[in-house]
Amino acid sequence: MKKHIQYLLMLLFLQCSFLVGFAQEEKVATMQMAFGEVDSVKTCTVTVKSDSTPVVGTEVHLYVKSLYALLELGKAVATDENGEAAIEFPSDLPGNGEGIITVIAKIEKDETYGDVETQSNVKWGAAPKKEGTLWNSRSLSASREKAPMILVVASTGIIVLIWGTIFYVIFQLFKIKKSAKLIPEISKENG
Amino acid sequence: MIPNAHLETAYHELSEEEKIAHRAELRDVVMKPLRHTGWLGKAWIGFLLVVFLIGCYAYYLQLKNGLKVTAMRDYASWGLYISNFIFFVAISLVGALISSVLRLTNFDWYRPITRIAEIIAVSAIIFAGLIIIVDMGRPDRVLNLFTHGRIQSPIVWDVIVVSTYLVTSLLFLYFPLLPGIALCRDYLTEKPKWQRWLYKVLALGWNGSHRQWQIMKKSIAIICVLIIPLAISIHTVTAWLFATTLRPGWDSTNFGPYFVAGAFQAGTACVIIAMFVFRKAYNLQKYLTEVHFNQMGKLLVFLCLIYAYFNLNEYLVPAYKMRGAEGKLLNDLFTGHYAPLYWSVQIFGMALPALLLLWKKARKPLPIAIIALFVVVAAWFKRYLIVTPIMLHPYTPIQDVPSNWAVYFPTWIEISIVSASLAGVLLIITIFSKLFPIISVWETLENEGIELEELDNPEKK
Repeated sequence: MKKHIQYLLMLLFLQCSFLVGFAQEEKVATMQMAFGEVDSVKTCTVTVKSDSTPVVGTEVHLYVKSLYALLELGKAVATDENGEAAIEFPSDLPGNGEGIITVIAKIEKDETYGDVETQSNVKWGAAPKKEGTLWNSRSLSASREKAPMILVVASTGIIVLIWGTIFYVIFQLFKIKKSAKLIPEISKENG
Repeated sequence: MIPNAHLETAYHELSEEEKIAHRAELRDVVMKPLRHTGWLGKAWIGFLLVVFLIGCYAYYLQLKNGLKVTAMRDYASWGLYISNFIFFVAISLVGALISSVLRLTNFDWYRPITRIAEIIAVSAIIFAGLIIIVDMGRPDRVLNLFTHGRIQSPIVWDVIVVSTYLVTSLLFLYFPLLPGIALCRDYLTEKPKWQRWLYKVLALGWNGSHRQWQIMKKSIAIICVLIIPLAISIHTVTAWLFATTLRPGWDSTNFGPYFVAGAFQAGTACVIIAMFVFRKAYNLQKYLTEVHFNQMGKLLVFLCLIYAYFNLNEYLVPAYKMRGAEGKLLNDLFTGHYAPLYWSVQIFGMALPALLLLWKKARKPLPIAIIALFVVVAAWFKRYLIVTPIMLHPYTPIQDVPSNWAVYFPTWIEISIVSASLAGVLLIITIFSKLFPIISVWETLENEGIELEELDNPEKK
């Protein structure tokens, strides 16, 4: 019994030492993002450093945050001798209401640094195109107040016509009741 | 005109006394079920009440915990409730078909079954409205549909047309019922006080005067014309709820007439089943004759064939192209996960009934009732197939959702609530038939050439 426990403890020790040894191999990297624009070409530069030393040859992925998921911008770019990866930024991406885009830089499953991520906001969002929005004009997709006039007139006309007829028929019920008072009890053999 | 089987003598050969005697006989037959309810009838009502109450408890749980108690998630945001809604709207159209279309096209044989068709229509449309509220996450906001609704929204069109059709159907049931209510008022004097009071109020003092007959018949004629466009609108708008949504399987210009054709077919089958049950339970063999079943059988064949035509359009044309997401959906229906249900519905609910009912023997009461039962069950599952597989096959997959959200199978809460709604429809029909004559005496007599108005007002002849 004792031998058995010793054996298990030894296994546990070996496993822990392996894990600790593995963990010691993974280094910590930091990322910084900088945004620049030269001749209307927008570029996002990501600088990767580990212990203040530039990390060379590590692939950096750049994403922007969309409604449900992340949208990757181009292919991953490897860092140069200065630890920098420059990625061109498209000029037609829409931002939020204020034109702000959330940019996320990632190092993914790197052998030395594992997963590293940083994010930053930049006001590079393209102005929303107004011409495609029908909300403010009289259209089927507009607000309640901007309903197409033809639809309002046609639907109101139909509703008034149909419900007018219904109320006329309901009025006939009152006439039946009224006529009963005029000629009471003609016959009890109805059916 | 097709005379009823029991009438061996033509109307003009009947004396006044014979007409009065015939009316008295019919009156006694239709009043009998109102006087007494047997143990089977009580057990049936009790069973329906239990199912209904279980559904009410399930709805209480849904209200308390929210729609998370259902299996509806981001993919199948419409599930069993909406399938059931379309089914109820579908069968409610039968009131317009039987009572109005057949009337305006000068058929006469349908007249003893008008009331059955109308009460099916009214009860179905009541529960169609209720099941929509059940489907709402916040039912307390239902009035917002009226106060904040956009007239551009098909949902608002549906709300308008469902409420309009409900009121019109109630009037269509009520007007021809007036002489029947008066009959109950005058003859069911042994009933409890509340029931006698109900008859007295609802009869509106009906005394069968010439003036009253005139107003009633004029009103029925108006409703007859009014209800046809309404009935077509209600189901077309229901179809548009789907067709105006950009999804494979729904993106179809065929959807309105496809729904209307299916509705007439399902509703006619419902009436056949109801005719069979009432005939047996209330001993109405003399008035709901084999002639009626024969005619309804022919009508059902005709409607099955029309529905088959629309099904061909709905499935064959996209299947020829098998385009993208639509192709995936059709593969799932034709050979995939939903294939057994899809083919069962098409074969047992449409093809086989149309084929079998070509034989006169299949149009006898029992065989046609069994066939109609298959049609109704298939019609319910057809609505499930119209909603669920399409919800699970969007053009663009929804991102970042658990994988089990991409499948849908209703929870016990949904099944209980839907069962309760079906029980509720049957409960309304049953209780109605215990309070009022399920056969319209005056319309049945008119079908046989006996004008009740003339009997009531001999001087007006």
